[in-house]
Amino acid sequence: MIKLLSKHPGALIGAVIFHLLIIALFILSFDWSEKPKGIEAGIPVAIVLPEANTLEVPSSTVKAEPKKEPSEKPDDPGEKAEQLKKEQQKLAALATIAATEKALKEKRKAEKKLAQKKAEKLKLEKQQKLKAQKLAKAKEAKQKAKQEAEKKAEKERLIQKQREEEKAQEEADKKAELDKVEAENAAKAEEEAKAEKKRLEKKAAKKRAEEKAQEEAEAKLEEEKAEKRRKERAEARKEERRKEKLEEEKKAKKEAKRKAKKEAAKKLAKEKAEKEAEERKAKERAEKRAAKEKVERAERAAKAKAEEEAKEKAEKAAAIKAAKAKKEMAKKLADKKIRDESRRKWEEAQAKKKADAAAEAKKKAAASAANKASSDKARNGALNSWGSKVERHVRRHWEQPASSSGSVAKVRITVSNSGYIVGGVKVLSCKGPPAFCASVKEAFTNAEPLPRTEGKYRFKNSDRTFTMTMKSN
Amino acid sequence: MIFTTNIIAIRKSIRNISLLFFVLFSSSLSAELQLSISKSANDGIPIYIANIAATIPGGHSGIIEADLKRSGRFTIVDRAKIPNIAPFGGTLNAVAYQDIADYIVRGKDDGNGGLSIELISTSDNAKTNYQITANTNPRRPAHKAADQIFEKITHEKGAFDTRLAYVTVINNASSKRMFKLFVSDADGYNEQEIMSSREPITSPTWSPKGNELAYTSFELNRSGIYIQNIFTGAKRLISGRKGSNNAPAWSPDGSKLAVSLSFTGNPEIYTINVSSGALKQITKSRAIDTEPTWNGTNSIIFTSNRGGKPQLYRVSASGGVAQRLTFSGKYNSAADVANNKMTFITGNSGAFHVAIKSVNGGSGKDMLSNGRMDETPTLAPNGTMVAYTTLRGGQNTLAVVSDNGKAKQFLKSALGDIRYPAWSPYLHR
Repeated sequence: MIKLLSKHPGALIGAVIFHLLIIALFILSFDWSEKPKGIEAGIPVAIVLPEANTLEVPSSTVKAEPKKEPSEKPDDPGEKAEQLKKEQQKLAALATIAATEKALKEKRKAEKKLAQKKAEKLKLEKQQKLKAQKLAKAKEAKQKAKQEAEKKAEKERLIQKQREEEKAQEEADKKAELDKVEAENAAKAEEEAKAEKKRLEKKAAKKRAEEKAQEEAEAKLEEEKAEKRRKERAEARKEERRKEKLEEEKKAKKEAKRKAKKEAAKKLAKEKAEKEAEERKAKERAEKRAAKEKVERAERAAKAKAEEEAKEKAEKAAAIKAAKAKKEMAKKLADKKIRDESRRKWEEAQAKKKADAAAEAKKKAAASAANKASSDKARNGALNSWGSKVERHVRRHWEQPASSSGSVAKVRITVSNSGYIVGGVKVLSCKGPPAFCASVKEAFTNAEPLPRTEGKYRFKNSDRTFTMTMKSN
Repeated sequence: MIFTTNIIAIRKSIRNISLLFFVLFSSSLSAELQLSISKSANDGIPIYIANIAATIPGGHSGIIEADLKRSGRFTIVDRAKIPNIAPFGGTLNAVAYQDIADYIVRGKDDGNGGLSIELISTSDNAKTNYQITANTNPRRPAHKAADQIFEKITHEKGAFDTRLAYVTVINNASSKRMFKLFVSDADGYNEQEIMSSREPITSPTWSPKGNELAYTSFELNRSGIYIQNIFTGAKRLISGRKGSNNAPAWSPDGSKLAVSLSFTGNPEIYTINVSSGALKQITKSRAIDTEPTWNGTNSIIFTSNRGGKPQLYRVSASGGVAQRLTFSGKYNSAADVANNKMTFITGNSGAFHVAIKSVNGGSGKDMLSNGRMDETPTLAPNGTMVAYTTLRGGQNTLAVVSDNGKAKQFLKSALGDIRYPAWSPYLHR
């Protein structure tokens, strides 16, 4: 509770004020002052002491009547009158007493009232005074509490200030530390920079030296190149001169050649002319010869013609003979061909027959195989369809228990033709809580009768046996 | 003589009041709750229900369809898929509809409120007949039929012919706030007021016979546990001890109430003998132990923060060391147990959801709700449905979800907030 109050200063102040108020009221409830006298005691009824003059008023109750002595004398009129007078006086005195008493009573009453009023007034004043005192005390207490609160606040402020100062000091120290570290780092960095600079300078110097060396090398290279170029130029000039020389020699040769050619051409022309002449001569001779040959040719031709005619005749005869022979041969061949042809056709027909029969047989076999395949396919399809129906049917009847997520089971069952399970549900494996494994078995028993297989296919028990994996959601 | 006459007059007036009350309870009143199905069963057993006409809204077939759908295990086949089906008793080759439904239901009202039902399997044409007698509540024969169909197909006892008790708060924000304890059919119809009070009523619980409710009431300006007969209205105070008297739970044999009392300083679990009032302390710790629920006759499951945060614990009904049941999540409370299943509230990232797990299984749980502030779950006696309150549109609404999470229904009251639902046991009358 103290911790809670310390978190809420307003509440703490209020609590302190409240407690102080209670203490004040408690203290004030006791009458610490001396017992007041008379009216101050707050006694509502004032005790009024009788005044001096009232003491002398004879009280009608106290008055003792003098003993009346019996008169020895008989009633005397004078005495009677005196008695009457006395009685009258007595009565008057009594009346006076009564009036005085009444007046006294009224006075006492009035005084009593006055005293009462006074007492009430005093009481009121006292109450007011008490109230004022209480207020003053409360104010004082409040003031005190306020002061205490202020003191506490001041203390807290001081503490806070101290904390802040400490914090500032810490931060300053930290900063100083950081600065120190920074300075160290800076110095380090500077040193490193210097070292780096030195290194760079070294590097630069090295580079310069290298460059210088390179320049020198290049210069040397340049010189060598220039030298080389000079040499090359010299050689080129030499070569040029050599070429020029060669050129001149060539020219000379050419000239010589031309001259030789010219002479050759001259010679050629001369030869040509001689040749032509010879040719003319030869031509003439040839003409003569040709003519001679022509004659001879004609003779020969005639001879040849005659021979040829004879030859033609002979050839014709031979041709006719050959044609005849050929014809006979052809006929023989044709006959043979026909015979071969018919034999071939017969063989072909036989072969075709055989092939047809084989094809037919093959076709039948294929058709039979296709039928079987389609029948098997339909049968398998029916089996798969039935399996899907069973799976759907069992899934709808399977209520997985709570908190079985991730569980898996594998079961094997055989279903009879009427849809009932033969030999019970065989759980091959089950990974999950016992409730899940039990629910897997129940799913099948609850789902009976399972969908039936189609009647046209005669499924064996082995066909109606399957393994099912059951996984929870 | 005068005294005797007065006694007789008092008895007569009590008799008249109870008779009036009984008649009011048995007769059908117009439903005050609105129903809406939010999620239909997916991949459930397809079942076709032929129309069974009746004078009640939706007919018998409508009630049977809604019941089976609410269980989350069935898919109702549209009637248009089998038009012109032969009527009840007529020839039907059900096998021809194998691809449409697994089962076909036909029925007939006998004119006196009784019901005849045929359940036909499309895999082998097997037919099962049921005869349901009439009831003063004309909706009950259809619920009983739904129970029979459910049991035949799923091999689990049906719980559609049961009741719900709950508290409705009317004019919650005003000075005229009223608390009313209601009982209705499990589908929200036929709502009957049991009692009303200007002071809070909480935690109703059913007796095993279904004829009494125990609840906490503040009608004497402090908490007290009362037992009231819902038919006669007779009521008695069971515990009005100093401190809190809270969270009664009836034992399965009906002999005791498990309660949470704090007269010794902090809330502990006690059992009170209903007949003799004998008190037995079950838990003793410095923590808050509350919200007891029976797990069979021999053990009690309760909420305790002895581990730092509210978690569920199990203790023997005769007392002893409590064993912690929930370890996942920082907040688990408000358990209810039925048919080896336990539903409870689990805290998750500032929201509170309804979860379900096997009582004897592992630590895993399935979440059934996704509201921000779901509370006070209660299980149907066969453990297949959970009713709980959820904040919807600024109002506390009653929701019913199947234990597999596939069907959910909301029951909104036109009167006000609905709180503290309690599912009745199987009915005997």
